[in-house]
Amino acid sequence: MLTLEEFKQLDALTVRRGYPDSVMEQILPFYNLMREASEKLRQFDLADAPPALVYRAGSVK
Amino acid sequence: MNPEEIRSLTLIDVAKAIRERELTSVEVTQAAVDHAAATEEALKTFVYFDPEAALQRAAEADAALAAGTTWGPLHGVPVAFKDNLDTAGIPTECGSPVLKGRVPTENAHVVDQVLGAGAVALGKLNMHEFASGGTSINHYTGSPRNPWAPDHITGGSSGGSSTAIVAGIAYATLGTDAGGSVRIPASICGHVGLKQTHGLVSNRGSVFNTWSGDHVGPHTKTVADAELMLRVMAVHDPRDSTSVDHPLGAMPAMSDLSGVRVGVPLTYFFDDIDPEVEAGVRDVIAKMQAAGATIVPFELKTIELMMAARMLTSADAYVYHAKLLEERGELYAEQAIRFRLMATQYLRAEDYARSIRARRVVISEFVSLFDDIDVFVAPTTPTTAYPIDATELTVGSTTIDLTQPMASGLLARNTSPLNYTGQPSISLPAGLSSKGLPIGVMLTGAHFEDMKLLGIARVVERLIGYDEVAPWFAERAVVATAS
Repeated sequence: MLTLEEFKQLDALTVRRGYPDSVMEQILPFYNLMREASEKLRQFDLADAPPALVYRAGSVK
Repeated sequence: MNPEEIRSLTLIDVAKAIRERELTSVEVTQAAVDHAAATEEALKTFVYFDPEAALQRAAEADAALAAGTTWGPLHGVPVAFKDNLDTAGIPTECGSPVLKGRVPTENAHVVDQVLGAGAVALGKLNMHEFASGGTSINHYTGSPRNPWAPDHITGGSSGGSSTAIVAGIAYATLGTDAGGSVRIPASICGHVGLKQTHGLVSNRGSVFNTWSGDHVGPHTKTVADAELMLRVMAVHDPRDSTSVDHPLGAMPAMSDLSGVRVGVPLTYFFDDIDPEVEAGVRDVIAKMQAAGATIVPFELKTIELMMAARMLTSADAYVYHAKLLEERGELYAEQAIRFRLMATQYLRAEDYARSIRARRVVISEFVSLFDDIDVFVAPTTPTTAYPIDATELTVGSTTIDLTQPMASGLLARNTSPLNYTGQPSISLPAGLSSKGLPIGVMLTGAHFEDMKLLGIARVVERLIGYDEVAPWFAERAVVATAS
């Protein structure tokens, strides 16, 4: 999980919002939760996900 | 009929009484308006209440009927809308100071359907700020109160929509459900809440959380009332890309559950549940079996995948909020909503794409599951209502710090998977805990088999004993008035 300094570096290199530290500190716990979920998700092989969904009632999405 | 008798009628019965001129819309609306006014301080149901407009519309409904014109199946019936559904010329602020003074120029598509069917609008209903939480605790509007215990949460995010039903103010209300926000307060307040298959009801004009997870759904007293509302609401909207043109079909008339295959999950849905809630739901399952249902235990292999992907899939809410966050971020009454949304702008495209693919894998498993079952049964919420000012809650063997920003997600743990998959799902009242608080049971059906789900739910409602309006609709309203 990222520290505040690492998160500020991430912001500087990507989104570049440059929020004050007081705001970044509040965002960070939520970002870390999302990062944790992303890391879990990357453990799954999703190459064969179905390209379309056929529902029992006949509809396709 | 006296006002209490009028208010205890179901939607179907009051609509019939008005249509057959046993009651006037003005009589019915006056009873609703009077009771709303008498209970508002105790229950905080509304954020916008317009009795004059409601009574004017009711008078017009009566005049139309006298002239031989019926507007539709909801002719003259008082209803109300959640504050995130656009209403032309009427403030729609999503329970947030961020949108203070926002007055839409058009009705939401679904609001048009309900008004077009003849309903009388009482006002806009209290809610969790931006529908972004499961409790409806709202420090800006003042939290709506649970009519069973006014110092307890209603559940959310459509808390006012449930209060209005249980207190006997409106005969149907609209809520929105992006993670359980119709079914959670229905469970916590003890009435029927339906989230139909995604796409059957237009989301246009609903201030949304996510394109793919939001559903506008009805809050009602009975399953039959929910069916009527769904028929009114489920009109294809070519201006909403998520709207699906699919006929609802007929609700099967079933005397029992012979031949019905009832799935009971062995994983996830019964984990960390309040023992009294679990006992209440297991009792419903036993009644279903005694009524002829075949019980089919099942396991889901993709729950972990869903849990990982769900948070990322919902990141599209940021796109709606982006400008508000930059210009008025400090106005969010619940700053945790602001910071949670801001975090999603750092999500990598690869991870968002993975979450979209993951969703298809999960939905595929749920579609296949229904080859072997007709519905599955689970607790709607892991717990019953708790005090608004509680800071800690023990559910089963787990103690939760309710001061943590994501704590209200506890209430959505069983409902939100069905927003992820988009299936129809309904919460029914399943009795009371030892503290006298409602327990909810959730029935979930296959995509686009909403009428089959409702047909089965109608039987289950009878088995539980809530076939007709429970007397507490009137009794609780009296308690709320006195408090």
